[in-house]
Amino acid sequence: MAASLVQLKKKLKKAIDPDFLFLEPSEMVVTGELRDVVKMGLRDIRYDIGPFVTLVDGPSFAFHWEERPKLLLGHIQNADRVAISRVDIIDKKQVEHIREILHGACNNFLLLSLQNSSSIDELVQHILLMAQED
Amino acid sequence: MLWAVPPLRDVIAERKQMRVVCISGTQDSGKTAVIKRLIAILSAKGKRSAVIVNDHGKEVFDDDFINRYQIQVENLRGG
Repeated sequence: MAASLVQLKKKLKKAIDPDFLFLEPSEMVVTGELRDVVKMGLRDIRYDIGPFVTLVDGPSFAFHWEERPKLLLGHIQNADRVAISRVDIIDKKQVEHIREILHGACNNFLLLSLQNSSSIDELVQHILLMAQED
Repeated sequence: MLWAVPPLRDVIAERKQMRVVCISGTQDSGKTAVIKRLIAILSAKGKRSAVIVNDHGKEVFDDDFINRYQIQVENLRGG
């Protein structure tokens, strides 16, 4: 993965030099590992890093928490922003339940719904703010 | 002068460089949908984007979307 990622970053930087390069890794990659891998390539090309955003899927949370709690915590730990996604198709009680279970691992969730533009706008602001600060 | 190189302060002060933004989570958590929405919003602000997706994600970026926002999508092998 690391070698492929470095090559692709170089390729895209050279080809179109985008302002933002979005990386969507496999679900098996946890955020700590991702941070280490993303740094590789800084020796060859210049780019800024972050934010690292983790989506906790609201509708399938119970299943994933029962089956793979370590993986979910691995996604959450070291993330800059954690969002509970697809909150428009679960009820508020479920959202609160997720918050309670994950309290301690994350205490500030973004409630994300693509039906609600303010939540995605908040994520855009987070990205742009981070870009301004660096 | 031996080399015509820019001074260090100019190199540091050059335009904002590419920023790598990572969107992770379990399968079907909405990662691709979120990325597509972010690309659309940032495009309206004049920002150009590219995407690196895992092996199973590239096909959801259809030609219409790619052409509309002038993005490039690449597959990440092994992750």
